[in-house]
Amino acid sequence: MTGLQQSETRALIGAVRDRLWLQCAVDAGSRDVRLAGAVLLIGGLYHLFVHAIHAGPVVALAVLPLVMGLVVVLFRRRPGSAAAARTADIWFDGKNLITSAWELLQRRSDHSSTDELVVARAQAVAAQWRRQLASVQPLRWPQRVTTPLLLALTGLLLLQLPSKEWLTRFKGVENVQIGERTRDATPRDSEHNMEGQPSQTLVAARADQDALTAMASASLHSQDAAATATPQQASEGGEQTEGTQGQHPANKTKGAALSAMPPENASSAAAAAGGKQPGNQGDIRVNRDIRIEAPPLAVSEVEIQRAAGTRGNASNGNELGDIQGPRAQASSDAAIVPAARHAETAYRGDYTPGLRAYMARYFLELNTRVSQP
Amino acid sequence: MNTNVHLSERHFQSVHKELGQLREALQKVIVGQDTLIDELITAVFAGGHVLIEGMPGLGKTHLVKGLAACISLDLSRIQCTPDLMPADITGSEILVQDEAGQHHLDFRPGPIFAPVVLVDEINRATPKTQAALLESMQERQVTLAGKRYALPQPFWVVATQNPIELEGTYPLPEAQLDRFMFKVQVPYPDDAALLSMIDVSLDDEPADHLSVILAAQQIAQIMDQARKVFVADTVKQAAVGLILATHPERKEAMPASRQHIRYGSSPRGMQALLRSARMHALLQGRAQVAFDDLRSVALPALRHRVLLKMESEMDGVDTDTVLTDIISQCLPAR
Repeated sequence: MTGLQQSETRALIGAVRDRLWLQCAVDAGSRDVRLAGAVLLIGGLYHLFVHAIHAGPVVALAVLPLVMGLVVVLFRRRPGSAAAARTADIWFDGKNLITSAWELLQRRSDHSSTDELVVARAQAVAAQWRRQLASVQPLRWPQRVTTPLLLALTGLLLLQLPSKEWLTRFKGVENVQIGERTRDATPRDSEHNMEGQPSQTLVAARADQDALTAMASASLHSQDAAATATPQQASEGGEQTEGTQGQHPANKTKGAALSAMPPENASSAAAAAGGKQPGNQGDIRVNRDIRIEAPPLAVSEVEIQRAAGTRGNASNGNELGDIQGPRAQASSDAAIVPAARHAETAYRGDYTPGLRAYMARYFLELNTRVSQP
Repeated sequence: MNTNVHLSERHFQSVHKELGQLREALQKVIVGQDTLIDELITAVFAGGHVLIEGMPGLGKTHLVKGLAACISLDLSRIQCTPDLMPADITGSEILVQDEAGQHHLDFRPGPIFAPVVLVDEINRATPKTQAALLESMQERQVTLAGKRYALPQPFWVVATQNPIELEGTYPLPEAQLDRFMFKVQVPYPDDAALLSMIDVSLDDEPADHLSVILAAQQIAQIMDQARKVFVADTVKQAAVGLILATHPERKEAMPASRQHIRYGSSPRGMQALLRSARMHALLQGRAQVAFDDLRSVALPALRHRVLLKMESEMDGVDTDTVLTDIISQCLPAR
């Protein structure tokens, strides 16, 4: 019995053994990946809907059985050589040739001529069978792993998404930050917001929407005379007012002011009031939060009274954007007066104290900005 | 490959070739009974006795006569009847007078003293006569008047019996059935085999034209070679497991065993199983026993060694069905 014979047979048995080992690992992995997928999916759903959790522990929890299973396979479930020899006989229909040869090779006693013949025959076919191993018995990949893998990936994706709880908390933090930003904003920004989109400033003030609508109606009533002075222009202003129905009364106030303008200026001012200025969309978001988090303005009732009594001595129409020149100044005055009056009316009206204070602050600041040179 | 291996390989090839020739010759005599021929060759060259069970006219006797013709061994035929006496089989001592006028008893051997003994319709012999075969078959000797007479080597008893004509018969006891290595059943040939039979044996007797294929020395070599076939430990364990599985009281018993079998196979059945498996492997040209060999010989080697429960027999349960179920569960898949 030569060493070559032994080596060929042993090589075949070793190859089959490794092949069985690998298949065992693949089977164990496919079995554990289902568990991992379930853990990741449950963790992702929990993270998304119940409580925010970090992805790391969930992934570790999911991967742990996978790794443990593979470790067990690698160290505890390695097939024996006898089993590998028997498997080789089954795979290649060896009629127990490899098994018999393996047992003969394991024995240290003298072998008969028939025993040597068995080993020689095994050696003759072992090399060929080892070459055919991959084709005769290809590695069986698990068939139903796609679903667990997709579940695992979905779970991972869910873990990466912000949770509901986190979103709520984040919104609060964002509002606080926006509030702080608004408080620190430059006068230029405030002017822009207040002048460019007065109507959109309070778009999101849904809680006070009805009150604001009523306020707008009151403002419109106060401007009946101006609105009827130039019917054509009032028509334009009316359209603008209709287009912004339900929005801030200042918009309607501006519509009323536009109705008092000459047609050439009114069109440009209407365009400005219609949100054509750049940055309006961003202001919508910011100003929505201003309603919630806007820092209280230090406005006293005296100032409000004074503002209400002021006819506005603003001389610089540039602050109104497109409205320029003496006529623009006149129109701005026309816009300020009803606003101030309305603020005064609102202050004395039936609105809630909070809304009255807010409206007072709003119109005070509006008048202040417009009247500044 | 060293010289020993080379010689052994050549020897194996030669034996395989001779057995193939014998098989082909017998296939000419008995058409369409390949399995029966293989089982007969396996059993006799493994050194066992064969009980052939089949309907009349299927060629049982013909097959045995053909085997004897092919292997150049003397064939002795015993036609069993109820009035057959043991001495008619074993022989007897008769009083003879020599030339000096002295009288003495001289042993005249019976038909049992032949290498191949065909015991036709063995179940028609009385139990006393059947018992006379026991010692001959197992011990391969005959004891008469305190003297032992050795039987020739090889010594094969091939008995036949008819499974349907049970009136006036004496079924063989389990102890005697256990002496037979194989109990083979002769199935009814299919239409193709019947057509071939017309061409081969309509006007002629094919067994009469058989030539000798194996000499006595070659037979001894084949039987010796069969004993050298390697049996792996896994195969031995499988054989033991199969035998234990037929015992309903054992924990290794299969559900079919517990349900239908009253007594399982004897250890002699295990020996018969492995010996016949070795010969079957040699017949296939292999030097090692495979599970396929066990699977092939298990049924003829065990079917007469297990005893079914009375309830199962009354329910019409067949021994072969129960054993096939057990074999399929015990022996590993291919």
